[in-house]
Amino acid sequence: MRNILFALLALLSLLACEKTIQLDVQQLEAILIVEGNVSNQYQQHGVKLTKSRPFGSTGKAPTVSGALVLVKDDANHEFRFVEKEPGWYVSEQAFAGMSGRTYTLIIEADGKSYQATEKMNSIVTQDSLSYRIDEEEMKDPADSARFYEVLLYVKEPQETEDYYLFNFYRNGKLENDEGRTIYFSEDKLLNGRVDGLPFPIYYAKEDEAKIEIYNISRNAFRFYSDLAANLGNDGGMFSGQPANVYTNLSGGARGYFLVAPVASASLKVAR
Amino acid sequence: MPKTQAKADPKTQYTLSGYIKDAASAEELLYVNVWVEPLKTGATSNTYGFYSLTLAAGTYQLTFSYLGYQSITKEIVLNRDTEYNIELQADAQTLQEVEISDKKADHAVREIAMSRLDVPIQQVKKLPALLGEPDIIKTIQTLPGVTSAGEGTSSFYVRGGAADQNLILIDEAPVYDVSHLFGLFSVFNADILKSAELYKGGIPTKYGGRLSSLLEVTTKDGNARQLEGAGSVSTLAAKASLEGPIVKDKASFIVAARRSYVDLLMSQIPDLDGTSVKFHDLNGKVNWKINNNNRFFVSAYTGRDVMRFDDDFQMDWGNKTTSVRWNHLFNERLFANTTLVYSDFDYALEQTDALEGFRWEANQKEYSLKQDFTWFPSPKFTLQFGYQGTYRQFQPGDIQPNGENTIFKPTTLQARYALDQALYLGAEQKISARLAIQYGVRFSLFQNLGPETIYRYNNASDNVNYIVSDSIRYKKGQTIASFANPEPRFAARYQLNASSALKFSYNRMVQYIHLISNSTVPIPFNTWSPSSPYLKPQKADQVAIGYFKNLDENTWEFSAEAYYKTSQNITEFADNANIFFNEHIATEFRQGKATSYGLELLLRRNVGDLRGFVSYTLSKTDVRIPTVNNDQIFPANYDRRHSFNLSMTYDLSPRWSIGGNFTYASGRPITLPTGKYSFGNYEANLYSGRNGYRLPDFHRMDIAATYEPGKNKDRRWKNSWVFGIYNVYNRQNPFSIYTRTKQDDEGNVIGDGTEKEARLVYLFSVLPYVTWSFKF
Repeated sequence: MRNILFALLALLSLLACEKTIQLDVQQLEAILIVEGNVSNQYQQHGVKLTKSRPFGSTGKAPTVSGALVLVKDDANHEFRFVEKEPGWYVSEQAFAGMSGRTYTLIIEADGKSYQATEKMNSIVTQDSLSYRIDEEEMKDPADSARFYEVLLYVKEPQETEDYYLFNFYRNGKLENDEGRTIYFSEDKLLNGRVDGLPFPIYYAKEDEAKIEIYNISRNAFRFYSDLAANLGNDGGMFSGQPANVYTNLSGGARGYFLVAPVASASLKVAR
Repeated sequence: MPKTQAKADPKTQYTLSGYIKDAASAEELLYVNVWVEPLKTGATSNTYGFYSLTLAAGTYQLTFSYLGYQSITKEIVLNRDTEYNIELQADAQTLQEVEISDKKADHAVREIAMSRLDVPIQQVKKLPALLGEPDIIKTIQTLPGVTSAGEGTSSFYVRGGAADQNLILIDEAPVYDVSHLFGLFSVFNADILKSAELYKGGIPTKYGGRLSSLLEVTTKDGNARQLEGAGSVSTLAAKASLEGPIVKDKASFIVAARRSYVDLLMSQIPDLDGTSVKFHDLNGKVNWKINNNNRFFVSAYTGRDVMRFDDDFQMDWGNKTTSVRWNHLFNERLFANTTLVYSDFDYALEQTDALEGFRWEANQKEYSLKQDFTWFPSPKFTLQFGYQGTYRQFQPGDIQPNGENTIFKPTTLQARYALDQALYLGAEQKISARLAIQYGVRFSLFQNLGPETIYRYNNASDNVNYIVSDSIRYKKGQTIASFANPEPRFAARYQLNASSALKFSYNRMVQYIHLISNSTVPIPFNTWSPSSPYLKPQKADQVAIGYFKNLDENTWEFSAEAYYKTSQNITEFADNANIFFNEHIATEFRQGKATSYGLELLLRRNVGDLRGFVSYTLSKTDVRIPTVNNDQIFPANYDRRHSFNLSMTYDLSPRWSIGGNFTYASGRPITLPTGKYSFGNYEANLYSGRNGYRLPDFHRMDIAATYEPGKNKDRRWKNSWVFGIYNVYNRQNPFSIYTRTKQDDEGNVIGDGTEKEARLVYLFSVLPYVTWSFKF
């Protein structure tokens, strides 16, 4: 459907004009925004706490310091988080999330408590990469040296219902179209064989290409699909009515506590 | 005409019946008034131009009057059942001195029906039109009680009803998506239309299936006397039509074609290589009028939009309708019409790519049989009754991969089936010279049929964490769910004096099929769904009162109507509902209540050099849907408090006429972000309520001038020019507001990427246009 909306906007842009306006909207009390992640990687996991702010505000989101942050699993493990930077909490100990276990994030901030619970899936895909020169792009590259296409090969199991989130990196830097596009997918239309699907970004010689594939829950899929709809909404004219993004946090906070295993593949282009 | 000297027994009743036609083309005329003196009673021709009056033997003066035609009074000696066909002469604009007889059309006051508006097709052609393409839907959007979501759209909202609550019929066949180019234009080619009537309430028992309105569009039968052609070239499209007799006065045909040529212009722009946008329409109709007792009509329409983007993505959609009708008179008092209808709407999306290529199709079809009877036992009493049955088939989605190395598998959503039946009975009774009533009931029965697998959920209203607990397989033709409803209808007219009347109406409407759309303006990729175990039929009750007054010898018509309408089970969707290709769409349905009320004032002038209307509507529509907007009431997407419209044409001379529109409407509600928050690199909007804000007011003025060269009078070949300006004072009318990361005109992000800005989108600046038309 994103294709359709894109096409629609392309059509409208032939006829429509637009201008920036100031919104005169009521100011609401700031709420807690949570960005938490537990993966299957053995590492210190992080939780970021910020506050929502007025639509027209400038600058980074205000951080929330001095909160109590804790993750528990359903096997009676408890992981305490400490504030490493203002609003950025990491687990005291490194740990790896285990498939099949349920993790609960508990936050106490400004006298209120918030919770989110999510179960860790298993890694189900096997991925590999290759690269090739995109002849068309080489003729007229958007970025002078970048005309290598990196291709993804995946075997996707057909018997399970799976949801995926993709992150694309160039030389260690996340390159999801300057933060404008979220790459996520469900598997209901896939036939299980992905043979050479090009990355959405181009690479130069010697670049390191990397993809991360998270096997996320249906709830997380909903969160990302809502987020994409929230970012790409046209005001409710042809797209659905603008709405808040799904959250798995209770207590009036927004954001998401993502618990998902990650598989990654990387290669050095044209070495 | 029969002449006999023998005195018949005055107690014996005889029937006078026949068809009323246009003298030039032999087209039947709808809703012609037939007035009988000295009885001071009357009748009206039906949608096929037929009238029937059963009177005691005697001598009568009959006056046939119809808007835009010269009235005719004839003396008739009735001493046996008499077939009497009559032809009326259009009052040509050039013959102003021929004053219409003293009996002018006072239909609006005298008829029982209220809340019904006819769209003056001839006038629509003289009014300013977007890109020079006259469009009845755009005119309908300016009528009192009707709102639109914005210019450039073809959806309309009647008395607080949603866009899918209008039954739009072309020659009895329903059209499911009337939009071309996402609503810039509608599918109705104005050149072949005979009439268009919008019912906002008081809908006759013969019609049902939609909650808010009936738009009945009738195409011309085709000139049965001589060959005629017409065509035009406008800024946007070219069209041509041809009509003529097959057998003079017995059988005739009309064909029409229209095609946009934006694509031809676009192909000249190098940047748009591989991108094209086009639509076409084809209409055809033949009729065979053997005699007054048997008449056949076959009418077909097909139209399609095709849009291609960058050579690798295409979308297309279109309607196909066919209706076959047989008018039969069992006797002079019993008129029957048998109709077979086929209607099909489909869309497709196609992407060309070795890996991600696919073709996605969806469609819905219906097959209907309608058997309608009208019985005219006396001028004081008319009875309509009949049966309608429709078999419906919904295919919400089918995806076929087309790449050689595809990542997709062929996937088809379950098709859904339904049988929709109704029996109806409606009477029209003149109780006294002042009081006349219409009453009746429609019994509707809707069955959602197999084959289909119905899922059961642990919590069907949880669209995220639903768990399929069970599934039941229904066999072909097996009833999955059935719904039956009586739909009472009542209307009354009390004539205060010769020129004014009070009217009242009540109707209950039930709608069994639902448009799956969560946008303000439906798009052609929205599918429909039958009522089912998870989707209850929508119901509405409406009461309306009205005061009708004709002024200055029926030159001006004034009406004031007030209505109150409550709707149950109106269909909405969960926030961020996934309405495309969702096997578990049942979890996204939300149903609730809507309440609307309003006041509509209309002053209209239908005769003379100056024609047109001025209207004002005050209205309010609130919606309450459990779980949506935190269970709080919110204004409907198309709720506009005030709207004012002025639409006029004036004949300056036999050569020149001018037309103008002015439209004003309160801004429509919109949901605006009250905050934002960071998540990763994304800045999401935070909303605190649905439709809590309003777009700025909408207003616009358009003008047009029509020139008919003087030599037209003596020539068979006539041509005319329309020059117009849309949005004369270049108002930037708000279409929508969206938000994005703050960026400059080239699309480069300004600042650190966390700043956002709101963008007001407006569509048409001042747009001049020219249309050249010809006729022979």
